[in-house]
Amino acid sequence: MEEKEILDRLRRGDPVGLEALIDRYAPLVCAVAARVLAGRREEQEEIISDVFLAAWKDRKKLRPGQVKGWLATVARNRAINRLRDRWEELPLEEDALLLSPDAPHVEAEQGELREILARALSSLEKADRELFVRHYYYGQTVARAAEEMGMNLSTAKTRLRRGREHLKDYLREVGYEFAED
Amino acid sequence: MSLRKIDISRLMDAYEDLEFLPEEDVQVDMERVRREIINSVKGKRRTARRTALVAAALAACLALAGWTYGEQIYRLISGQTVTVGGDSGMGSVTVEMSDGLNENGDPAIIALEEGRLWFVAGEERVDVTDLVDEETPYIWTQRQEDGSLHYIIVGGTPEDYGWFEGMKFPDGSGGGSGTPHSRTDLSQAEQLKEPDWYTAGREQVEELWEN
Repeated sequence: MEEKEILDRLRRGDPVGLEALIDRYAPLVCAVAARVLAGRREEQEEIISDVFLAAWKDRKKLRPGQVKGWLATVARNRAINRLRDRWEELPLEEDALLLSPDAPHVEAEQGELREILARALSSLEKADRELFVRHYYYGQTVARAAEEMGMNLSTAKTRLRRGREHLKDYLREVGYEFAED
Repeated sequence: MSLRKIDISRLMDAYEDLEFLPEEDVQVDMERVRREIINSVKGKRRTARRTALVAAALAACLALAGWTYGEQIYRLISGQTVTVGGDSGMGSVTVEMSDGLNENGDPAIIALEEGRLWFVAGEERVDVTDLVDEETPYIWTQRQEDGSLHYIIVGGTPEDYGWFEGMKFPDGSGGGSGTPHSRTDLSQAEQLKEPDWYTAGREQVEELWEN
């Protein structure tokens, strides 16, 4: 079934549309859930179920050409929040960027932050960007991300540090000041 | 002195990745997951976990509207108040009912508009027409910091619909009220009969509470 027909059926509240959505996008949603919640099959199943039920609930918000991105983003967010809700430490390298105690409080809008992130990440080489996204967006350990990308661990850590410095450069442009500045 | 910080992972919540999506792969029992999803949508019996999934998060928090020695008063979204303790004794719960309309006279919980049913509690606006029927509820729940559970159950059809709002407290007590039917031509016996959607909703709230 084409995406347009899937969306039309969803908007009409036709469960056949939801079944078609599941058929088409379950492999992607499964893969995103598995990347964040590696080895936790029962939780992956809960997240997958959550995502498609969220798509059903918000079906009138789904737009042609954006369905894949919407589903993948919701899957990532739900999986990461599952870890956070259970007070689990995400296994992340130097997740915290320390701000200067003397710096004025800066609070960028969500849209502005998205833009800063996009610019910072787009300025990285593709491999650096992929590593950064796998680690800080999907919560993969550096070791696992490096292994899947065919990179040695030491190189991966160096590349990740480069990614953090790039991000800080872009955040400084909008007024953030860091402790070591 | 505590240092302010930005967590990169939290910052990345604002990001959307379309470039490095993982290779499509199914490692779970997708047939079972699929059946559960479709059964939930078609209104079959939900598990407690599924109850949490259909719950909408309201922007408005339940406010403790009053406090005197030994008494706590909660003002709910429908306008009713639930009082715990007070003159009736510690642990007792009394409810002052509401007609489900807000100060403007508009529906505060469920509204019928152009043949569609809308869940309108707080700042929510959800078309629940296809999610509810005579036997199937739509349930919203919210855990409070003190461990109590605030919940709303709506159900029925555009021809006859209703709502119930209540609270459950850590000591097991609770209370609430609602309007089970919108039809005004029912006999008194019919008016007092508990709708099936309400029975199903209370069971699911109990499951959620116990879990």
